[in-house]
Amino acid sequence: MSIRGMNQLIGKALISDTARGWALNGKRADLLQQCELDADEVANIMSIKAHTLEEFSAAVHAIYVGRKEELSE
Amino acid sequence: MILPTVDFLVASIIVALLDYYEVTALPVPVRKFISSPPPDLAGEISLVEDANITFLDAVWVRPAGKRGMVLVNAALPEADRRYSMAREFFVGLCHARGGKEVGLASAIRMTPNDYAERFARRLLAPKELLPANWRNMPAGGLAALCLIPVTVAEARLADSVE
Repeated sequence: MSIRGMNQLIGKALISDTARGWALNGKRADLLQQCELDADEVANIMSIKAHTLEEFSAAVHAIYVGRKEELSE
Repeated sequence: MILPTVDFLVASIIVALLDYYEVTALPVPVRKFISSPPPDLAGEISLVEDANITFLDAVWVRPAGKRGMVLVNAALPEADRRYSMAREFFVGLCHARGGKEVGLASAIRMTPNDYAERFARRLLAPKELLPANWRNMPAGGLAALCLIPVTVAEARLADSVE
């Protein structure tokens, strides 16, 4: 479920100007509420320090990979 | 600089589109995705199907100062047309503002160039909407279910696990 949530998050950023803005400003929490994420994933994504969307999506991808490995164990 | 993978970004686009259009059954309405894109993409992507476009199956173009468009040969059979427009839709997404900002355009430059085809296969036959045993389906059955060419269904069945 949560892996899909991270796809939802980055997918929204790809198709929505608003989502891209919210990902980098103080409204990131509002954006995450629209995605199917676990509490610890929300915390991890909220802690991302990124100046660009590219940095943000790379950081989310890193969390995604780690989560996927956890789920496959 | 570390980039997100194209696979991750492709999966993300597909999830977002299926969610946005509330798609719950096959075949995926790819024509609607392009002809009535989400509002923030509307200025960047449109669809033109024309039987006079006979020199190729489909292509994404953006004339200077105008919005991008997917030009599709309307004389093609429907399954081929859907696949061709999905492939060129991906090219348009790579050039769209969101695709550039999130890193899709950069990631594409770092990887092999068959991602438009892979995107089209995954968009038109998304694992989210396929039956659980889809990898055991005959290509003809998958093609009929998803309204895609049989050759594309064969390639989809051969795609690596996502």
